Amino acid sequence: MTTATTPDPTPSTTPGTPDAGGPTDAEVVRSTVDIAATPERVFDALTDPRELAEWWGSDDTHRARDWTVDARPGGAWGADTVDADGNPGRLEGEFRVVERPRVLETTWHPSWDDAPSVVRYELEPCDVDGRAGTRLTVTHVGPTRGAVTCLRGVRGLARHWPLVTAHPLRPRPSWSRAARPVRAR
Amino acid sequence: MTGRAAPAKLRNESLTQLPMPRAAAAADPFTAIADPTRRAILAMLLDGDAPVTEIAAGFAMSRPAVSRHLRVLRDARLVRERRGGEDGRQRVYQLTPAPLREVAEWTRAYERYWTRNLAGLKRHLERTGEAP
Repeated sequence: MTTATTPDPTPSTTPGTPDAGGPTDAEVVRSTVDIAATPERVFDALTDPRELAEWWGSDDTHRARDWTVDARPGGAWGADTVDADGNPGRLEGEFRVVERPRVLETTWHPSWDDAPSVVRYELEPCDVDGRAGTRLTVTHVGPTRGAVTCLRGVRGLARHWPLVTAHPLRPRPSWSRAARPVRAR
Repeated sequence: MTGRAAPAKLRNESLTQLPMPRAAAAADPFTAIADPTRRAILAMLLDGDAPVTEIAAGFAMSRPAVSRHLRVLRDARLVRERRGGEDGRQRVYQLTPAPLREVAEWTRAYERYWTRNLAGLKRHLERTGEAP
């Protein structure tokens, strides 16, 4: 990973795109942001329950409160959530890696997902606006490790895809409804 | 807001080890298709309906093992069983892939989620500065 030399004011988030060889590259969301704060400061904001209550979430996604965090390998964390429609939920997980200030990795068990996934935060020191800053990269690995893309690569699924996209979704938090319909290749 | 799509490769082996679902998740499509044998069964059924005997013949495992996989797929409503064959007494499986939409939506939802979440973290840290 290269050190940033110019500040990136907005997070950039890239979806995983399927790799011809392996199934593990799809359903991986990677989001990066440059922050004018040290990795120690960023790491603490990711693990301190009082701070998490101040910044986590948004009106577009959900708000989270009553955070509890045990920031150790195997330690549990969680919060109660409320989405834009007022629906309550629960977000929780267990840490797998806690290496302050460079790496934080956790399982991800939200009440609105069918299956758990994994989130990894990587913090790299860099210059941001001439100050000691951090490039924070979040990698969120989906529950099926590319299973859908494997299937879509199989000839014949394309004719089923209109049926797939017409299938009604179960009620989900308002922020998780896609902005665009899913199209088959 | 999303950046230009680029391959997102996994550099850490630990990320490929996914946690087990806490609750019994036999009915969810994620768990159903996370298994390579079940994906192979679905791929087989893409070419058309198939009786259980034909499905089982495609795998080097016991019939009960194949039946277990078919049950998981049935519970997830990714396949359905019907009667068929010349005598109408064979158990024939048919692909019903509509639940895959839930899985396909996952990536799009979390792209937006993390973009907003990290923007909020940046605003918080740059507003308050070094001292909490």
